[in-house]
Amino acid sequence: MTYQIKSLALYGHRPGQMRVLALNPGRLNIITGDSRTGKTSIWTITDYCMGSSDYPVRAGKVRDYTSIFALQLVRGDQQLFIARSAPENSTTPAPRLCLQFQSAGAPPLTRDDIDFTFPLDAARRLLSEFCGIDRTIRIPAARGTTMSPSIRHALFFCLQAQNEIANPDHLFHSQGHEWRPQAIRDTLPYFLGAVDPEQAIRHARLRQLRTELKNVERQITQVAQAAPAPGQARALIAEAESAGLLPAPVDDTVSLDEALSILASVLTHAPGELGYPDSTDHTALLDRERQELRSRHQQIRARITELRQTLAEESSYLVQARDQRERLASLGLLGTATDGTGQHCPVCDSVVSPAQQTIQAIREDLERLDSDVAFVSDDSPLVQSMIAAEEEQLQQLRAEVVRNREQRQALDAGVREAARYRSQALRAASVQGRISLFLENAARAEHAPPIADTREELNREITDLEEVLGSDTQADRLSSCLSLINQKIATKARTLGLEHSEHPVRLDLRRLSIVADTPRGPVPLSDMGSGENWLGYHIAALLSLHEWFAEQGRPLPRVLVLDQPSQVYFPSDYDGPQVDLAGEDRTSLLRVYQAINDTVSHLDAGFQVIVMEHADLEDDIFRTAVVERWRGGRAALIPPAWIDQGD
Amino acid sequence: MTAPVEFSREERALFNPAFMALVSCRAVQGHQRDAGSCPLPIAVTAAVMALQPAIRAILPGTTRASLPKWAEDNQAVRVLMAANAPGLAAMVRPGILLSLQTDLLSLDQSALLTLRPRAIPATITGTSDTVVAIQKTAHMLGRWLPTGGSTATTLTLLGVRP
Repeated sequence: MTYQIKSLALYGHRPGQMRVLALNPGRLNIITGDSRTGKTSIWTITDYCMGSSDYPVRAGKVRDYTSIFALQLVRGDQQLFIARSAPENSTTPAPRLCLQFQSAGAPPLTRDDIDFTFPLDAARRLLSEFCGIDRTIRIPAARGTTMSPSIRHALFFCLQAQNEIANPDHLFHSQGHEWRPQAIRDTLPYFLGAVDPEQAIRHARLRQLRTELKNVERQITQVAQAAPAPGQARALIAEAESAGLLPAPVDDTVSLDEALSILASVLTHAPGELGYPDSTDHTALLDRERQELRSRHQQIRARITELRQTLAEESSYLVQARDQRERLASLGLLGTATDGTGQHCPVCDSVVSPAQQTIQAIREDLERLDSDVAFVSDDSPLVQSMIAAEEEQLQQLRAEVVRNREQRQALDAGVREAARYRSQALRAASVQGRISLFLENAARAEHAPPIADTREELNREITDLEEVLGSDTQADRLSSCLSLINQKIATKARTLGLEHSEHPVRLDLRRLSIVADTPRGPVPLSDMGSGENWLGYHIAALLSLHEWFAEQGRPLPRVLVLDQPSQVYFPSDYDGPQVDLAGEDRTSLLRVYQAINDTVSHLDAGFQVIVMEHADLEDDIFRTAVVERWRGGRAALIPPAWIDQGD
Repeated sequence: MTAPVEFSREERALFNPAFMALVSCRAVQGHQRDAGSCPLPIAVTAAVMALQPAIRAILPGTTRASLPKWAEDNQAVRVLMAANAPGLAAMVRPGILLSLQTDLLSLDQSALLTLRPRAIPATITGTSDTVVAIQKTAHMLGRWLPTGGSTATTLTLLGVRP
């Protein structure tokens, strides 16, 4: 259940000055008038009274001659009167508003009854509630925070200023401002009804469970810290060992009590003296030995390399010889038929050496090669065995070198140990100090009552909730809402006869724009031409959204305020007397109004459209909807009488 | 016609007439498989090409490749052939002569070579890789060279004059 605007009231600076602009809920309202008659102020006043944080009313007569702006909102048989005074110095908006519930059909309050008691936040909250917005819902916003939807967010979808209604780049109200696009993206799912109210509760529960889990974990760790940790005791024992305070190494698997007793024995221990081994000769000897070993190592390596080279040369010769032999042996593959003793070439009859002779030569070559190969392949095993012997020696040498290094290291360590005798005594003392502290703590540790370990349950519950929340039903629901709305938009675009309406048209949440999916690729609104298309798609999108809101009973004001949709048919600087259009433009504009009217009548008084218009058409559809006509300086939002008196 | 005695021992062994006969017989064998009996120049050219490792390396892997395109892409072939063909052809000729003398190949009136059935082993085996590669290449060239069109065309593509 949500509201529409019943009337708009302005209070002048003088007592008794009051201008009431009555509007018809559930219908199309057209306010037509010349330029500078205050048409635009209708939406800015609405915005201001709904708790804007700035002062949207433009400088001009309305600012100059008005002291209080007021709205009357209707919801069923309830009526809410909102008043907000004009800023004192015309920049800082008034911090307090007046909100009063009235009985149905009551006129706006008189000047004396208005009492500004509501601070801005409270006023916004009350308005949101009046609108039916559930303030407890937390919308997951970007940047990982959450926010509550409010009436201010609803207005994105209810207003279209003069520079927005046919704007190719911005589809929604105030989309051009900083951070607004993100707010629109975040709140639209809620207003479409894609946000599950349960979800917010689940999210809250999840947060609560997580904090509980943290608390339990903290308690458990506290208890664990208070108790003497066996790990710590073991670490201290190891340190005591390394500091030379323990005679024999202790097994790693000591129980806590044993460990404590061992540590207690350490405290009575005094560090023993360390001997000073005289190790200089040893080091010199070892160094000499190492030099010798190294040079022998290198000699053997060189010998092995030579032998390997010999072997490689021989084997490459063998490969060559084998290749030649193979080619010569081709003779055996030829299934010669004749003995080839003919002296004449079968082709040209010239005298040639008979084949017998050729074959004979080949055979000789083969024999020679065979003997060569045998001679060479004889000594290769010998070389191999020599290499093996040398390798063995090398291995032995390596072992020697390793042994030498180990000895040397052991010696060095002994020397270092001796040099560190003083510091070691210090270290032993410090270890002893730490052990005594630990033992005191362990003795003092009182066994606190055991903490109930509910971590398992909590974890289980958290994972369940995360699964429920993580299955992203919201994205599913959002895309299904959007696809239904897209159908509406496409239908309306076709009736308005817009370009690209023969293709599927969709509302793109990421771009916050209308996109037509043509075979040549997606065409966003900003890439389409002609103001007529921009206007048409704006109208189609907003009407479709509001149809959806009304059908689903979503908590937005059932109001759509449009400022000068006809501007695309007039020259931009147009300021003349002509208010009627002719030809194609006229039909297009009428189609727009027809579409608005169809939506309003389709929703059956559940939707109110307020249009401020420069044009004035004779057709029924337009004429019957006009509520105010400000022409020829005889009428305007601010009564001329106020101005005359003000001067 | 040069006697084999004029070469060094290595050359005599590597390019001995029996092997040359085998290689050219392989080429004829490949030619007969797809295109009937083999013109003499094709047999010689195939053997000469198969004997060069540089050419063996750039030959296509399949006989379906286009010979004109391959010759166009690999201009190096013409250079290699111009440099080595005369010498190698002198080696190949005694091989063909030997195979004619021993009736492995027979020559008809229009200078076409035909291979006597079962004159050489059907499968190519060997212990030396090079020998096997040369025979395989010769066989493949025997199949592939005729796909370039007439004999004259093929020889022109490769930059050889008969």
